[in-house]
Amino acid sequence: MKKNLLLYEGALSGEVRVQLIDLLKCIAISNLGQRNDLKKLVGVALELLDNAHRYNASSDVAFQWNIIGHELVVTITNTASRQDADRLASAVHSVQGMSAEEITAAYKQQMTSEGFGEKGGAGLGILQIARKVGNRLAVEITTLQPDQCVCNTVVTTHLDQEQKRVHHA
Amino acid sequence: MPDLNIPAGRNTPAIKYDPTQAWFRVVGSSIPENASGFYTPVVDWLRANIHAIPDGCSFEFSLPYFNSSSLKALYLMLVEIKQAIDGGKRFQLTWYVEEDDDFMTEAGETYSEMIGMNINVAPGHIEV
Repeated sequence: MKKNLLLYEGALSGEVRVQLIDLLKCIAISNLGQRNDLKKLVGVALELLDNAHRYNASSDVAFQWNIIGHELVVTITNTASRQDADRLASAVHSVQGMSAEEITAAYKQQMTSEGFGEKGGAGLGILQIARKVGNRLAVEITTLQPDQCVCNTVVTTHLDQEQKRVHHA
Repeated sequence: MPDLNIPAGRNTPAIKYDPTQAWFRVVGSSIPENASGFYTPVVDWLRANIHAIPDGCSFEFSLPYFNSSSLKALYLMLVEIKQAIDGGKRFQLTWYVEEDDDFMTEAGETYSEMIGMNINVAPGHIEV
């Protein structure tokens, strides 16, 4: 069974980003119930939106949050410069080949590295996603112009039924 | 010592040092677009003034949501606190989490391990 819980296509301003996260919190609780990993799941969306907002070459994005069977699939599409697209692809491909231990080690190394990037990022977003929900990440880069690309990033995670919790009155 | 009192914003936490109650608190969701821009003045404030904060001060964090760039900024704050403790200061550090909140709990435990200091990860919520 597929549930397309959120599809947003439009400008991604700072305020839209905050509103989408607020909306996703409500959507996640309503559709997934109370779970111990709700923040991790919403956090995936937050990191993807942050990346798209920080490196977007235009203001528009397409963002989707779907449940397919027992999996959550989060997709974001945005334009980016060739340099930023290549950096995203490199980060995703690097994480795809890492074990959980290697991801944690890379995360800690990046955390302790000097400073922030020129656009205010910490270089932790993709690693954070992989740490929290696993490394089923994929990115597809399509060239629009010599220095402009479309990035389509997909994160898939299994919705562990054991994460559900029951509240007693 | 200059005051530190930053009210909460739409996507940034409140940050305040209250010398009368002996606490330094960071409270609220932290999902700024530019964590470096938001937190660098706080890290600078800590670097310049932490030596003047009396022993017994409690550093308390309660962040229901944060992005990864905030994690890095918070790490830099914790490093300043750790260095002060290593220099002889006696501070307590508490990382408040909501009930069954794996996300926040893991973050507190990871910080504790990475920085090499005791962080009390406790259920509950505080306000500024």
